[in-house]
Amino acid sequence: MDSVDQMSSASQDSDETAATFSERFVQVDGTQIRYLEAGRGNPVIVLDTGGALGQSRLCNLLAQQFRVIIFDIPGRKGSSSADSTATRDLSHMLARGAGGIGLERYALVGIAAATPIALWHSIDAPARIDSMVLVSPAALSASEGPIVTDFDHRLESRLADIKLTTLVLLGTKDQIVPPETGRRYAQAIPKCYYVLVYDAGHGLEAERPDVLFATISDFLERREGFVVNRKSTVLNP
Amino acid sequence: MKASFFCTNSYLSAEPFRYPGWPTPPGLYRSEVGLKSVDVALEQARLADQLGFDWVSCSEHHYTPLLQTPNATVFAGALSQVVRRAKIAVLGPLVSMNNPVRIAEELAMLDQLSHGRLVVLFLRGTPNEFLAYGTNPDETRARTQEASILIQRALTEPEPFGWEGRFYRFRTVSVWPGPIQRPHPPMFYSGNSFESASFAAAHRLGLGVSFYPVNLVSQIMGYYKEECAKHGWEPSPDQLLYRAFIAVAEDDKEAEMLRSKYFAGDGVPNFFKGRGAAVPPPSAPVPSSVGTEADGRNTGADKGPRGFGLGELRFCGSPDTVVKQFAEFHERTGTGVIDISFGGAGLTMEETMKSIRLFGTEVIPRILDIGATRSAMKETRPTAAS
Repeated sequence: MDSVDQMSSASQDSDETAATFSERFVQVDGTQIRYLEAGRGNPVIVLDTGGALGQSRLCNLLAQQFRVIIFDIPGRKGSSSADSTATRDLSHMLARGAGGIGLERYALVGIAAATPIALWHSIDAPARIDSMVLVSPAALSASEGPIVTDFDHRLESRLADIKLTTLVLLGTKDQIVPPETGRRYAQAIPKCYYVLVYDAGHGLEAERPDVLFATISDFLERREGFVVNRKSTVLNP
Repeated sequence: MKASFFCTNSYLSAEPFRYPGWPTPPGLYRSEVGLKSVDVALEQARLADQLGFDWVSCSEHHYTPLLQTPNATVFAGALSQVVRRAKIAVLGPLVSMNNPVRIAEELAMLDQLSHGRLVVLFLRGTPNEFLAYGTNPDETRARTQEASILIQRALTEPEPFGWEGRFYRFRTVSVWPGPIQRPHPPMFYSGNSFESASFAAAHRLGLGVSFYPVNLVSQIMGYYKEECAKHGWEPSPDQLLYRAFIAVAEDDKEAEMLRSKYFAGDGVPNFFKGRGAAVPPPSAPVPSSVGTEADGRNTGADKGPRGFGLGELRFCGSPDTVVKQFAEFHERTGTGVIDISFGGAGLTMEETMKSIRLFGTEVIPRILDIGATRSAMKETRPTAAS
């Protein structure tokens, strides 16, 4: 496995937060995987199946504070796969891809339909991951009754094995993944924090990138400690 | 129809009411009068319960002798122990200017203390009150909306959760005790504007309108029902609430005498004098066909002498007359619950008590069948409270 830097600028935001993502490739078992990278600091791998890679304000903001690697997931643009084997294979491939570019430990951010891949990765390679963030996760249904068939039953049965500190974020107006779904992750994953973003829908990344960044970066920096308010409230010192 | 007794806990001395503005200076407060006031208020609440009022209510208001309930939930806690049958209606906490999680916790406690008799309305506040805790008036509508949703969530969420809002951030919310009534106590939203009525409809909250004349109440209630239909539900009459002042006497002539002095020297208009007049009008547009909102805008729409009807004696007369007024009001607005204040500061204690008793003994039995909602209420009344 090796990585190739194509030195091309993949995205720019027009404002001051714009980061220049370099387009690169890494070979994994004969397959070339494209990824984008920007920023310095602790590495954060972002898994997303929607939108243009590296174009989001969230990724640009994260790149101001972290070394951000965005994998172009093979076969992305589809919805969350209920095929446990295929999803798990993808997670293995991306884990090897991370190794191929020299990442030993990193934080993992899974967005929407890419969250099952992040979850399998955290189950199969927990030693590689510092902490995990799931944004509008599409791995479980909201219902506590019979699970709809589109969801990965094997994955659900393994969530209790996740020992990572995990943050789940959902919009209060999410029509695709109802906000109540968050409590199911909190119940299934032992160290899971569940945060609702008020007045936001399923497209949290597009709708509320600043609050998403503020919460995610605080969590990645402080993990469990992010529940403690350390901001000064002194008005007149 | 149902009747709710608005327990104002008014200060029982005229002296501070003569102060020409808001806030009323604390130096005018006399301990002995304060003690007597709260004893009388709780006695009135006990009497209202015995007379058959369906709810006994209170509301958060600040820096005024007219309503000595700056924390409505504290007062409601006391009410819950003297009112044994009627629902305890907190109408409501000023959610625009308080910690919403704290409100959720207090409401859950009240539902526990009252054995599941709590009713709550999310209130924005009057313009002067935004000065009490330094709240930006321009933000109060949005703060009220967000806080209401957060309170509802905090009372229903079984797992600890965090909240990233526009105005509120909490990383750990986990309310205990939980509400006795599931999924949560009946909830209303203060709806003196079309926007608020839309919000209430979208979130399946009941609607409370206060003090407006019947034509405006009819407009808003009608609009609210249309909005509810758009969201796929129909509110029951019990979810249509109206608050107003009342005076009942033996006959109409005596009632008119009460009307002539009802508000004399009281503090209602004083809310908007002195510092109370300092709240600048927000910039957002408001509907023109509905009168003054909580933020003080659009004061001309209601044509009443004291703004949006806050100083209007809406129901006044003999028991016969008041029954007719209630029936007509219901006919025109669909309102199922009327929250009434007998607390004209210009009345003597004897006149107020007589008015309460006349309403209880001669009006309540005759409004039971208006709207035919009372049987439903009996079915839902918690047995633990009886």
